[in-house]
Amino acid sequence: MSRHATALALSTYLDEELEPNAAVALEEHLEECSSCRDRLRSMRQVTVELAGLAPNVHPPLLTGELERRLRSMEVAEPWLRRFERALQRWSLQSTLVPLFATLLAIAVMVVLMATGVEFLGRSATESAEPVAEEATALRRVVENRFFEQEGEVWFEVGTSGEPDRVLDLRGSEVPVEFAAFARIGAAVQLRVGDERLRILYR
Amino acid sequence: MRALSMDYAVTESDDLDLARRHAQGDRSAFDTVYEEYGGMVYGLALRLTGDPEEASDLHQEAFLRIFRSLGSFSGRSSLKTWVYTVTLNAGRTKLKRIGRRPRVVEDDRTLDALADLRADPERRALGRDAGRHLQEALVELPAAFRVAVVLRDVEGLSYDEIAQIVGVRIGTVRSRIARGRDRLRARLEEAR
Repeated sequence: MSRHATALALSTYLDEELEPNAAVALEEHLEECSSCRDRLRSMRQVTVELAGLAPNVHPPLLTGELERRLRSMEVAEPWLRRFERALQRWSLQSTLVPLFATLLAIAVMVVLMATGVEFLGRSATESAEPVAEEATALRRVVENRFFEQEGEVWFEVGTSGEPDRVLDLRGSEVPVEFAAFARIGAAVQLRVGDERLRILYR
Repeated sequence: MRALSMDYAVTESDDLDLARRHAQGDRSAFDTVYEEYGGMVYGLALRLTGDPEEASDLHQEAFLRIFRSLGSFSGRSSLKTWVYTVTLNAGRTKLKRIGRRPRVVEDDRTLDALADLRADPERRALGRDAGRHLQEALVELPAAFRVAVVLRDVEGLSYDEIAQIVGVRIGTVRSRIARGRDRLRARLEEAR
């Protein structure tokens, strides 16, 4: 190694993550190059100072503003969220999911037949509009964020923090690569197959 | 090794149990999460923002999101990793904004919070001085570098964990840490 070591090599070496051969080459270079030795020394000093930065920080007590907002969320929790939580509990027991889906499908069919609503043969124009989801699709996870349905509009309500590899659609997971996103003004349109969903940020 | 695996299994199961209890409306589950991670989140927020008020805001926003989302935590990562991710997502805009405006850390409350409060007075004074320069340099880093450096050097997380939290590849994590450290090094050498 004749040229100076890069910051990447020095930093990775400090973390003992450099590959053995590269580490040996770097050590040989460091023996000859005082400039790189100094750079490594001061970079190590930075990591030592950072490690000593406020190791013991006490959080604010769970009182005041945060507690008030948490309480208001609990009190104002709508029945929809309670229903959604119930769905979540059920979906944890995977054996119940197919049974629940079957019962729901039968119930929907019965209601549609009884009311005489024609749900087949929807026109192409209609299908291009945002589609209201079934009552079971109360929450979706899109790009690490939660969206909840209010009427026909979906609002962002929180962040899942989970990797966004799948979408949760009616309790079944759909790989993200089968979904398409398009940003239209302030809204994001999500398409999964023929379904289209408009998501607004508030 | 066997004991370690069992410990991990217990932790994972505890994490999921907390999530399940929260989903069922058991408030004590959230309180347990707050007790466990409240300090960690506030500390992270303080180091990333360099300002107690901004840190308080971020801490609050993070726990509101945790409250909303805890019930759907699925255990794909540890709860600790998930809490880090939620906190960083909550502060995404704030952290970018902070990185764009250089700030000077002056008030005593911030300096005390940033120095090691357990140290003796002399060491604490030195710590405050070093902490001031370091924190100023830290908040001037671009947000992506700042987050990577803080997670690695302050929080002590592995490259793997950081990659999972930030949602980028390990190579990117390695590069961000290196560039962040190098900028800090150059900035602190200028100041000396």
